[in-house]
Amino acid sequence: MNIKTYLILAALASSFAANAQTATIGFENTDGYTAISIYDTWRESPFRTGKLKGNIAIVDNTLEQSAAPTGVAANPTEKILAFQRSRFGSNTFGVRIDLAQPFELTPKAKYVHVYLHKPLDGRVMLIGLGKRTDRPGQSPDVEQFWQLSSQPVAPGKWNDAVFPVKGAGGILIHSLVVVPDCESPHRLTEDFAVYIDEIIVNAAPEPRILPNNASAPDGYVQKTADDGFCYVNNANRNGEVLAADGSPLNNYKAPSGKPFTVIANPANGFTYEGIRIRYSGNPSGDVVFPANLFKNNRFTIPAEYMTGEMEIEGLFVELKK
Amino acid sequence: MKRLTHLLSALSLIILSLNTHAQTGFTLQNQNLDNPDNEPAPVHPVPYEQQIQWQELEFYAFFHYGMNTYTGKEWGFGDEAETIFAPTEAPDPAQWLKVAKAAGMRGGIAVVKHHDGFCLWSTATTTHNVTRSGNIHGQNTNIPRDFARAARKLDMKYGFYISPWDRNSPLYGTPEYVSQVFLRQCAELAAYGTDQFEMWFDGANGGDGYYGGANETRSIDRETYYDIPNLRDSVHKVCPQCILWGMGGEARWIGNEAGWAGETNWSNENRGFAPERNGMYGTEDGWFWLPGESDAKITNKGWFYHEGESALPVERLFQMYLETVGRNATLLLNIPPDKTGKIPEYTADTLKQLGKLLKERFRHDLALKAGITATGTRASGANRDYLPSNLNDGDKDTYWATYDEQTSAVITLVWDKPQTVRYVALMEYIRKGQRIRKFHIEYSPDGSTWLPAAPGVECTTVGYKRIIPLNGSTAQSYGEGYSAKAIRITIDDSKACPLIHTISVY
Repeated sequence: MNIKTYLILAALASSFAANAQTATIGFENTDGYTAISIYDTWRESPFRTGKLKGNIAIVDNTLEQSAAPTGVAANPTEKILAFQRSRFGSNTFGVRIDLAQPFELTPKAKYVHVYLHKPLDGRVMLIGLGKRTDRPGQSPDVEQFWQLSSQPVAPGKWNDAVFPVKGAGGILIHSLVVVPDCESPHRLTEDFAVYIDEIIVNAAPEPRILPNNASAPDGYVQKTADDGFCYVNNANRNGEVLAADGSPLNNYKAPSGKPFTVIANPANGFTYEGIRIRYSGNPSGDVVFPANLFKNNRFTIPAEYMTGEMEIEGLFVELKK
Repeated sequence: MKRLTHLLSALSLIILSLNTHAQTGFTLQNQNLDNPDNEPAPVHPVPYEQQIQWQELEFYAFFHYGMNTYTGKEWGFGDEAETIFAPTEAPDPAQWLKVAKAAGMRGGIAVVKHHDGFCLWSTATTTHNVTRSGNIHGQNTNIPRDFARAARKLDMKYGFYISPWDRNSPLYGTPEYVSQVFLRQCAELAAYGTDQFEMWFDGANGGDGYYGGANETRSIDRETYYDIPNLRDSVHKVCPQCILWGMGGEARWIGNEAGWAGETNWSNENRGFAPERNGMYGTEDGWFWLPGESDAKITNKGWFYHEGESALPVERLFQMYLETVGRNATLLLNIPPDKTGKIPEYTADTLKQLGKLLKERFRHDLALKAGITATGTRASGANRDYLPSNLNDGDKDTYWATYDEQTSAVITLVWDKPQTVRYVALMEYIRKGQRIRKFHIEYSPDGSTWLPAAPGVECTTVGYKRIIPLNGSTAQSYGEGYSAKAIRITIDDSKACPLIHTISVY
């Protein structure tokens, strides 16, 4: 069995000070926050109607001993926030932390880091509540972002969940809602406890806790389908992108790792500037092939780009007369 | 010490005083929710009320009218002189909506500003609007006002398309465009009626344009530029029922302009920044309820009117209906007014025929006189039952359900005498989430021999509504029909106990 060790990136910790960042909310005291409560986006949640009350508390960190055999505790702090994930809440049910110091949401991404310890697999999400600075009458509780963590959170140990967040600018985030289980709870037969700690906002996308094998975690890496095919769809306005034989790209099964020819077919009055390929599970991995690579409206996508679940968008623009 | 003011909402949040609740350990509290009606637990995500009302509209009209009607373009560059907009008669949104209503549509969305930036109302945000039109018909035009008025009179829903991308505005690409032009235009449009049902935000953004004479290419980050969360907040304050489509993040683009949704089509999606990645199919474990809308064209030359255009054949439009409304999506069918500002006769005639076809083919619901039985029916609660009779009681608020652990079941409809059947429609009780993953349909000519129906059809998801043509063809679905004394629907797989509120047979 592989033994994973965890490294606390002290180097990162010092670099945090060099970058603009908020104070760490560590729950040793009330620094950084003014209140903690339960939150659910589901309008008919029993936690909104008052039928149920949430259960949250600051507790001693008895989880620090769950550190790996290196002897270095992943989270050696003394106090942590405990939260009861109720099976009666929705998939966006979580704990709300009102910030002592709001931070601005800007077009340039910031990264909210949250230490999380939970017993079950599942996605985690961060919701930001805030308002525009130029709208004095606006509630500070307007939901401004809903961001899944950039990497999966492994159950049974401390993780540093990282949430890249951005917005139009001129927006202050007053509260953060940590959703530790962004999954439908309909199969849960009992509630479970989740622990949260060391919340910080900074400019560092890397998690503070890493497994010692630096390979990318499962589920967030573009995989080829197990059957040796990739599945191609197209999402187009003002034209369509077809397979070489004229077939529409509707869950089209193409051999993965092999070149694939497509045809750009603009609608009446339109031409194209190329195609964009998006990959499911890799939101930042878009690839654009410009029109000058096409010949007779055909282009062969190189083999290395034929993988997983793909969506091809024709970049159709109007024909200049 | 700075005092922060907290806005306590009606959400019944529990605020803890931290100094008094610090503990040495954490104990889970035993929490139970009374369930006297034995209701199934929701499978999240679930729609909110406005999304349900939006989806119940099912079929509505798009009206692309504006500067492009008079230039013959689909995307104006933004440098068109206002005087080019010169309707030969007074534009008549009431006529548009009457034509749509004859087709069975329940509402309409009027384009009031396309990418060229020309506004079809006297906006305070730019002089590039109808007040500078080429004739009195144009100068007197106010599409949002007249469209809203006509819709209310005809008891139809209405909304507006406003292009975020503005190729005319010198401010486009700067923060000032959003605050001084776009958001103000949205606010002006919201003021035309608090009962708007949808605001449509095209996903085409950034590119070359006039931009006040700069004549250059400008690009924006669509994920942040328009400040959608706060736009939604502003619009909802004025129009609480309004669904913000596309970039607005409350309903998604179906992913094509050809009038079809996937046979597998989940309303669940991982809401991010439009367009989401799986428009035609949704994502089964998507975290947000984001149902799909299919925008398609009735004419063959583009979204706007073009000389020489013609309307698609009625059977093709019926196919679109089956492949959108019949596949858990809504259908937004575009009907372009011509240079008179009215819908041309050839289009109006086609829509009238479509309305007749829809009425005729879905007039008699044979399920209403069938005996219905089902396996695995859930036990009744104090005030609610889940009996098979809920499937054909004409009440969308009652539903049949199985007990919690049962994710498959068989529903059988039987008639005294054989009926000629062509379509079976199923509707899930989506208030508690979308569940069905797979089903199949059989029919029996004599009540005992069973034959498979719908060859080649992927009977996977249901959602708000799924219409299955029993001959397996959406292109030629009517045919001769099948003589059936009974129909059997087997739910093969479901995320949780299936909930169906209506089964119809035509």
